[in-house]
Amino acid sequence: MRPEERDHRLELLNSLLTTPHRRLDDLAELHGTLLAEDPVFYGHLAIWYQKNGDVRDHKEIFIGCLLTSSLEEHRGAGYVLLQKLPPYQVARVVSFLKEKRSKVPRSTRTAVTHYLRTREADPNFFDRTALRARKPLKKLYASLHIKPSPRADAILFKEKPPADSLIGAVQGLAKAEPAEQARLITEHRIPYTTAVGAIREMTDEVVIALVRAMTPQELINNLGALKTRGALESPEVQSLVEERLEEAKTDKRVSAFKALKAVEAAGLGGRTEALLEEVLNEQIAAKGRITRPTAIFVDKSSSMNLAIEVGRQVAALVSGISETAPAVLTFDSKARRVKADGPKISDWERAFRLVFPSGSTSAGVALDKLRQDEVAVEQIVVVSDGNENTAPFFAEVYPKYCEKLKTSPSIVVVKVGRHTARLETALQEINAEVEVFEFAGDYYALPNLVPMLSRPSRLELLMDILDTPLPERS
Amino acid sequence: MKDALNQVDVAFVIDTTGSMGGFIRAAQDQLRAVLQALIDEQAIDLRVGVVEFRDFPPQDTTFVTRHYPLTHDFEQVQKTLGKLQAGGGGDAPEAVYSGLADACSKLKWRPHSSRLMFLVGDAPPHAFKPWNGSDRDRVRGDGFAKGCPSGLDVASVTAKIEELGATLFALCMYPQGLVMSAFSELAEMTGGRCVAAQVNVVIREVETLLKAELEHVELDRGVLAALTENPEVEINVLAESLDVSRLNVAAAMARLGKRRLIGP
Repeated sequence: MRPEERDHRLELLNSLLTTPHRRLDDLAELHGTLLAEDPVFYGHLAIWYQKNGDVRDHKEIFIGCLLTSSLEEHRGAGYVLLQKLPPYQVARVVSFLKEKRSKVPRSTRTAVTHYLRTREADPNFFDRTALRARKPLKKLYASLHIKPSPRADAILFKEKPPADSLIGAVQGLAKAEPAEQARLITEHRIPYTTAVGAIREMTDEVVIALVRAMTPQELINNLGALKTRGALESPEVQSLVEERLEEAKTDKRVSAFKALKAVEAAGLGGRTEALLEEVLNEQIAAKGRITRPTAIFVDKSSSMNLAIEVGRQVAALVSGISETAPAVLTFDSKARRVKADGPKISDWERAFRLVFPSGSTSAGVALDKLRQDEVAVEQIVVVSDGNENTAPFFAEVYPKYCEKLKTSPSIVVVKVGRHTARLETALQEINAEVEVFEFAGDYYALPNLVPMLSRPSRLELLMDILDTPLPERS
Repeated sequence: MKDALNQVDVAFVIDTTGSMGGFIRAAQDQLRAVLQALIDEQAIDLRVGVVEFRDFPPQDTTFVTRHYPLTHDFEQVQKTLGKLQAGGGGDAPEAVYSGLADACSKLKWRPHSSRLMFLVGDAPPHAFKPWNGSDRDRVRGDGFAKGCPSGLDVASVTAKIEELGATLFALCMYPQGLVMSAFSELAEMTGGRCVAAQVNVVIREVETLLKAELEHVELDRGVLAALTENPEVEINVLAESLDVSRLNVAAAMARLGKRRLIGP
């Protein structure tokens, strides 16, 4: 790879990682540019992102763009990736193509047809899919004019499911006695959200059957609802819930973010809450281990009401999974080192207890302190609105720091408050590696920072992406 | 400290050059009633001050800034507003930075008050260029294009406001181009925001912004009471006892600490 090619790819990767999601038009344009400018890199990036990325919009757009690419390898890879998506995401890919590309090529229709026929060929697979994703499945058949099999037609469109089908079993659930309900739930693994509408009385045996039928993530998602229905009061149910939550710790499909949301929404106390926190901690640890020496700069200038709280959360998060303790500094127009007795949030709460907003803003002063103290780090998290108004400015100190400490740390700006792009723009102008994480008021999303900090350098990442093979259609 | 919690100091930093007659009349007619309603509603200890600014000679030879102290006496505020007259100005940019800097240095802010500034104007500061703009984005015909005679710029003046611990809200009465950019930058760099305001709604905007700033007072009061009782209480425990989110409690603690109502 030529240096200019490498730099361009790094630039493209940076754009991808820093463009806020939820803005589909911006994302569609960005993907179009990436694909046009470097189709080879785009193909590898698309596959790499499916495994390593977090943003669903990106994943779907990648597949949409691969399916409509002029390269046969891309279309083949898009075909394979589409088969692995749940129906609602397949429907979103199709919608994306219709709305943003104004076309659904024949190859995409073929991929969706294969997707549907694979499920039709396995009645159990189809029934489970139809039970959870009836609407998107119907949409796929209808919008692409794909003729459903007679069984699919009976279940989805004629609403006359065969008696031996899963949907038939669900229909029988409402009239059954609790023991029979528990049997049906266990035998057919009927999801909680489906079963709950048909069950009038939540007996212990029904709740136990439901909890057993749930995936760990479903259990976490539905803890609040179970609690509201009084279903968690029985010691037997409690014990089963705890057992299932233990399983959740090592289940890669469990979202730490959702786990914490569940704690908040369910207002759960005691042992269940403690277990959910353990799930979260395990999940954060599973997201990665931070091996690179890290510094965290927390903006405590007078305009920052939330940065200090976000800073202590980030400090706890990072120190809990770092091989070496992070260097944590607060800054206004002066920088001060903050040290905690341990990695827990309570330790950092004590460490930050007397830190309050005051003064003007100079992130550069914190970097300059590291430079003077000769602390070499490979990455820096800056929790700030990015509105520096006092010298020394970060981008001015950065080259001096790099020169003195013989390192070029990557920067992650965690943006809080009424932020602007000043800081990252200044850093991009001096070719520093910078990423942005926007804190939108929900600090339960902060664990998503971990993959940004635990992965290798951006260049190693680039090599990793280029080594990711494109799947071939068999 | 409980009494200090109710203290709110508000400075209006007003461009009184020729085109600002509309705002001055609106303020004279409506501002007093709005302020009175606020203190009746919220039981706050409100003081109001005014800084007016025009431009530097030779663009304007009347004055650059004039300040009127922060006072509880709304009769006095009304008289001050009554004295304001729109006039002069010269070129398009005005002495915005000087107005803000004087509000920081010449008004006597109470040590523990919540400090708010309202910048009202329709022209950018001298020598202003958006932070992400080029030299072509500067104001044409700026009499001091190479630098404001005050020696100030967006960074240095917002640093002063931050050092004071105040938040700036900007009411932009010519919400276009460079004026809006300048006012937005000034406000955002202090944690405040800029609002585009036509003359018929400008006082209502002031009222809305003030109310939004004051809506935290009750939570802050609860947090202050709890911390006075037990300064070591953990944020989670406090959040649970007050039945609010941890994040809101942390923000309340930050506001109280910023006003030195808690902490060292």
